[in-house]
Amino acid sequence: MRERLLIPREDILRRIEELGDKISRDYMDKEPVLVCILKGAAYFTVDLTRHLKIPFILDFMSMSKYSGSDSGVVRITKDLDIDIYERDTILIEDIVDTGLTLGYLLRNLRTRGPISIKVCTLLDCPVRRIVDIPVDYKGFEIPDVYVVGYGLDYRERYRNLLDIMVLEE
Amino acid sequence: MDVKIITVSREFGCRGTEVAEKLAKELKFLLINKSYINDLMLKNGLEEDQLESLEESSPRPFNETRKRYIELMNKLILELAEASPIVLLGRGGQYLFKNHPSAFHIKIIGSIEERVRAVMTQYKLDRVGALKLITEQDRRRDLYINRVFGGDWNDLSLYSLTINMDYFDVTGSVKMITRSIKLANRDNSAFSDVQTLETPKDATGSIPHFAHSSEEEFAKLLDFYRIRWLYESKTFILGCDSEGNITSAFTPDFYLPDYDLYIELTTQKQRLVNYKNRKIRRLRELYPDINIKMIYGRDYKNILRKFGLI
Repeated sequence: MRERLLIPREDILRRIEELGDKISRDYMDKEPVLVCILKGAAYFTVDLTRHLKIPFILDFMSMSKYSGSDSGVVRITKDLDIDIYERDTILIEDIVDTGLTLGYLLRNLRTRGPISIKVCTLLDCPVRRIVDIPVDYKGFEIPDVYVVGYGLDYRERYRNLLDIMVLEE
Repeated sequence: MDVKIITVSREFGCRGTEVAEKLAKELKFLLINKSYINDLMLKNGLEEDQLESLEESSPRPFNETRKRYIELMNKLILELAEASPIVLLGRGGQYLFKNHPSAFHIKIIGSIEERVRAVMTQYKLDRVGALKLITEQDRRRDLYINRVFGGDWNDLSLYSLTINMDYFDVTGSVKMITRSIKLANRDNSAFSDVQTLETPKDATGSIPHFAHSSEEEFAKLLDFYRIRWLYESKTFILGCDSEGNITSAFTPDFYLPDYDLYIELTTQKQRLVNYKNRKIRRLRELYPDINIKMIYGRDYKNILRKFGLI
């Protein structure tokens, strides 16, 4: 495996600042709940919150990952600590590709009665989409490549890279 | 058996409501009780004065309007269960999710003496008043099951577990339920491993005969994310000869009803991929409203890679 630079750290931070400004404008006079989907979105979420100029509540969620035939069904392994009933909610993802994980999460969170749920993702890979999911805020649209760095991993490695890299065989 | 739906049916005056609340809290399942349903139905267009029609114990007649409200409620409950593990209190859950592979049905009962005592205390009634209230509430719940589902509330074969509250408190009951579910999980998976864990079932509960192992793997992935699917459910006619005989047709591998989406997996050789591409182009020309996606070998490999499977 070798890495190839896709998005340098300067571009990532600049884009996150823009996203922070836009979310701050869209949620002016509101206090949204930011739901960070662990583990990949942790780095992105932290940097995004530094550019928000509105009050917000930060919470985390984690789900079991498909690991082959005997996986059963998806489970929430770490649920929200706060109730999103009648709250504006923003789901923060590192990458939206197939839409399967996000589709499940949205279905699950909608049953909890929030005022609104929007999706904010650092990376969007629409060519890999299986089920259509609305993405409200996106950092970068990427082609069909395997990416690591800035929170994204391959078998738990590469998360701490400052840039986003393509992992090639 | 992977329990995602717990239904709690209870005789009046048995603390069944408390059991359901504590159970949902401990398991972190969504509790669907009266207040949740009321909120849900208000969001779906019902007015406050119409909410009573939804309750089993309502004295309102089972006219068409009431039946329509109940049908809407049942539809929404089924949708909720698709999205999240639930504890459903009452509402005929034992029938609504009868034979559901992930449902566990509980019935809470008690002796009439204990129930009268509890109702006298809770509602500040004398013995005669309490007995009358219990009889009326049980009768209405019985009627609800009969009119909505054509069923019998007292049919004990409907329930996975029946608890007599004369012998247990709320905490003890919840412990017994969670323990029973664990035992059911263990025994059922050991007993029917091949049928329930290894072989994916489609949205109708059928086990299809997959043409390719990648299709079966894909079905398992959809199952994991609780996405309903049908395998080779529809054939589209792409061409006919002058006598009307079908000369060309295409049957997509999967249909996802919740997304109104057809999916075709092509993990085969390039020659076959080109052949399928031509067919899908023709399909889109003839059926422009059909939503279909191709997943190519490389896409599929990337999906497996994403989940660390290769």
